[in-house]
Amino acid sequence: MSDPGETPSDRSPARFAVVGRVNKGKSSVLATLVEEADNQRLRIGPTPGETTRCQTIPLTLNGETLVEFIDTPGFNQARQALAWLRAHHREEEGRARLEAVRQFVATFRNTEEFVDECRLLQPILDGAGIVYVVDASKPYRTDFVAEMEILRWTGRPRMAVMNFLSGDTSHAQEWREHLGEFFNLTRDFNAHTARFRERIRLLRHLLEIEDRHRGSIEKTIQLLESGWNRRREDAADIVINLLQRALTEKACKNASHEDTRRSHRRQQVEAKLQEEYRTQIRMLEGGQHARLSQLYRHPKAEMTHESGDAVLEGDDLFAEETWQVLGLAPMQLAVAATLAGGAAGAGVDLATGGATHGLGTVIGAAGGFIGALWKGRALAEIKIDHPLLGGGLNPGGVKLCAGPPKNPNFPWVLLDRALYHFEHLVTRAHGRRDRFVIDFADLTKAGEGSRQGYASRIGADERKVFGRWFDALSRGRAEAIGDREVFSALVQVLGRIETGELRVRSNGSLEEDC
Amino acid sequence: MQKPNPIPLPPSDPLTWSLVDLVDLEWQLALDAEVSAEDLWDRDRRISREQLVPVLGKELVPEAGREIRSCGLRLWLEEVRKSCREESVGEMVCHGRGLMALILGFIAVTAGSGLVFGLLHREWRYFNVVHFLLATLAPQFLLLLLLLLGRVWGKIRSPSHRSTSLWRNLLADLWSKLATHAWTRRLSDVALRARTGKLGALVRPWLVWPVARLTQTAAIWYNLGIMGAFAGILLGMDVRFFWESTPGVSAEEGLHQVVATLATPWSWLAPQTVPSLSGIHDTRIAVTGTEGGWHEPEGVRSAEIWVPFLFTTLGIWGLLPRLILLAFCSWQERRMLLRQNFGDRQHRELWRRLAESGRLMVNVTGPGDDAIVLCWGGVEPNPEELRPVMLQQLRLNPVQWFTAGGLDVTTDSVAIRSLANLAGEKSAAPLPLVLIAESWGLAPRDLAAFLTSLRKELGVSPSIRCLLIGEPKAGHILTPPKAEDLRIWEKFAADLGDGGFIIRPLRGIQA
Repeated sequence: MSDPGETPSDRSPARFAVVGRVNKGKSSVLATLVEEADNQRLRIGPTPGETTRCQTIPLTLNGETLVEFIDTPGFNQARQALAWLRAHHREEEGRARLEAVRQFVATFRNTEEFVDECRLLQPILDGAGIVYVVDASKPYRTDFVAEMEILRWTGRPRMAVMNFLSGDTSHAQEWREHLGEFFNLTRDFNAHTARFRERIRLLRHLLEIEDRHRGSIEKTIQLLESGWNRRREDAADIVINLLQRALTEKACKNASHEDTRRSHRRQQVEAKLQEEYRTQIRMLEGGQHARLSQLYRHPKAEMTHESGDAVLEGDDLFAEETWQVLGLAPMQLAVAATLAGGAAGAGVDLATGGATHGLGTVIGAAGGFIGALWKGRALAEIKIDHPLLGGGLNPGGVKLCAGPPKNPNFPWVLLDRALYHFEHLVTRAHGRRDRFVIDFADLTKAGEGSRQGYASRIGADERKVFGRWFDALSRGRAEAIGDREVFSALVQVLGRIETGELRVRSNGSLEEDC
Repeated sequence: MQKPNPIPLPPSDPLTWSLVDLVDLEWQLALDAEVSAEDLWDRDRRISREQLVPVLGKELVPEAGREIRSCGLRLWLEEVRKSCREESVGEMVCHGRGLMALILGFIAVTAGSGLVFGLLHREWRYFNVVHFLLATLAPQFLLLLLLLLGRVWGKIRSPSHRSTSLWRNLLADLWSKLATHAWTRRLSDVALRARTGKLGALVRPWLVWPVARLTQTAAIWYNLGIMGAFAGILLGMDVRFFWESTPGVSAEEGLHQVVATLATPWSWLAPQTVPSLSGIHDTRIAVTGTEGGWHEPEGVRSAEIWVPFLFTTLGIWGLLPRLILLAFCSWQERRMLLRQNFGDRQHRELWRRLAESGRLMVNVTGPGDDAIVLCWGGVEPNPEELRPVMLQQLRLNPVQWFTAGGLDVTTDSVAIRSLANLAGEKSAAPLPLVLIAESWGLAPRDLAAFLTSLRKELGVSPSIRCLLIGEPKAGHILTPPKAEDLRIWEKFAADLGDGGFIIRPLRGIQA
């Protein structure tokens, strides 16, 4: 057993034991800190004593452990343990208090007494720093002094973390004063609401109590930050992939000439095809949203329609309510379409070497404006193509294709829903163990006809970039302009959602902090 | 002192991109879409470590510029190629282009020379110079104009028509038919991917200039065919040149004007090659005034007037524009290859994998306190009630439940078999077993026989904790056992002689 006073080699990982009273959120803090949402791996529950033994959680880079957290069982008999320590410690004999703690563990390690105390103290005796977690949403009581005193006896660098399980912060000051007597540092960390920046802040605080492993802790923080940036870019690419496919894919089927000649049969075939298209796009959206969930380590996130709950009208992508509150307002849509149409027309002007005297730009812009006003009313009505209708070259029948919707708001609605999903993922702490349901109906319920999404609130420049790309996609010319610009714009928007600068309130309305 | 290269590239490998490389890169990325993220991560991290880091060093960062990305991706492609046994798709495409160039060249030479032979009046051995100029030059310029208009039209045309056009459908059907033949399967796979847009959408813009270059090469061969056939005819035959028109003087002046315009680029340098007005007059076929009489130009004189002009016109207006266009297409192709910034989605994803300084892995393996519960003798505690008790008193978390010792003796063997199967599935140490029994209902021989059978199947390794509960009270099954019952069980355990069988009485649980 190594002495806690010894200086480990530089390459040894920084180790921190997360300790505290039973059922006060130690595992929640750790789960949020290391993004572990799986309850089988890191158990969190209302039953006291869910953590039965020390669980080591290494953070590794290429197989090398940089930082190690140890989840420990909670203090169960701290008062009795302290009494034993005081009884067996003789100040006059000049023994360090640590020696008494060591003797305590040695005495009870293989007995039925002080099982949890022995287990939680062992890693500290082995040299781990202490992260002491309290539920500061409950009032301070003097019986906590026993466990704090025991931890002080170990002499290890220690930090207190005030977790707020019920959200009440009225006792925070009282806790802070008492914790200050026993700990080098006291910091707030709500394991149920903490976002990425708060997690990083907590890790930085570890540097203040454990300077010997500055290198590995800083490396960990740097890797977490670069990983977070990479995730944002991955998320942007997932959203781009969703939009790209949704705007270019169609549902096609071969229909007999008989089906297409008779009006009622043709309507039936078209209705069926449109439904197939809707299903295809819903599956596409669900799949890409699931990829987002995986990316942010929330594999169990459910969207309402797959969670088994009654599907509300506003939850569906093609529901009228969805299209009335998400996407762009009619005038915004018209402006975006005008700009995109103008840009496409300018391409024609350029191609003719200016011979059209800017007529292409004017016609393109006017076409975009009129089209947006006209088609913008069509809500989720889906376009049907008849490429070979009446051609007579295909004796087996004709090929009918459905999609995408006529309404130019379609990509904006999809974008809003993807961003809404994204916001839920980046604001959901992994320490929460309640069911994670992303309910799109929340947006539409609160909307009451006004635009509630992100698309209507992002900057005009960003909207212009998106608009141009959507227009290019719908014209089949996306490869000509590429998606680099839209990628950069989307990364910016996602960054603003992460920081809370662009967000949807719990009641569904969106607010923007400037 | 030599200035150090900002990117320390190996001198033997200039790391430039060819069309073969670009197609191969996109092909590989299209294949990668079907590979798991973990496998891609492992492969690309290895390549990054072994190939990119030694060359790019600290320049290898996610936000690296175009040059670094280009270099990194080129190194990556080389490494991926090493592990690929199949023929490079890029080479297939380029071989196809070469073959297409050969076929088109042959067709073009044949068409050009055929056109000239077609313009020669076989019987009288003369060329009508107006027809000659119109037939050899006008279609080329008309085609060029049509292509230009088509390009403009394509820009403003609706995509839905294009993507579902008759031509596309027919080509797709043709490919699917070809795909049934084994020898075309791989080729067809490429085509199918291109159709679905995985590869095609990305490769298509890169093929614009190579295809344009191909067409210009064909046009050069066409013009060479024309000029070659024309030269051959002049060398082998005595050919006359003329022109004819109903209006007299004005037509001569008109033709002279056209000739002068066509000769503008070179007339200042070689005025003798431009037919004069008198020359044009002399080579006109006209009625002489006598009945049935014609004025026909002399063969040698008409050739002297027209051959230099026609040759130079073919060279300047037929061949030269094509050479210029070919040079332009080649320059554009090179520029396109040089200016690739590899910023599309697939490139970005790959670059992130390559350039990331490392990914922090969090390894949470679980608390390792899982246990199997075996309820003995018909006792059936509520799992929701028992779980907290087990967590707090045994420090174990129940994950699976079995029953034995009930009325039906076959349930004992079923439970033993299930437990044995479970132990067989686990590669790690077997999970501990918790036997829940009521302290007042011990039937020693029955339980001993069961435990012996159990040990026979499971071996000695899993410990068996026997959690004893007392008599149920007020519908509450989890009560502590009486002291005298506990003593009986302790004696039973001692007589059993199984060191792994541990008696654990339930501690005070209040109803």
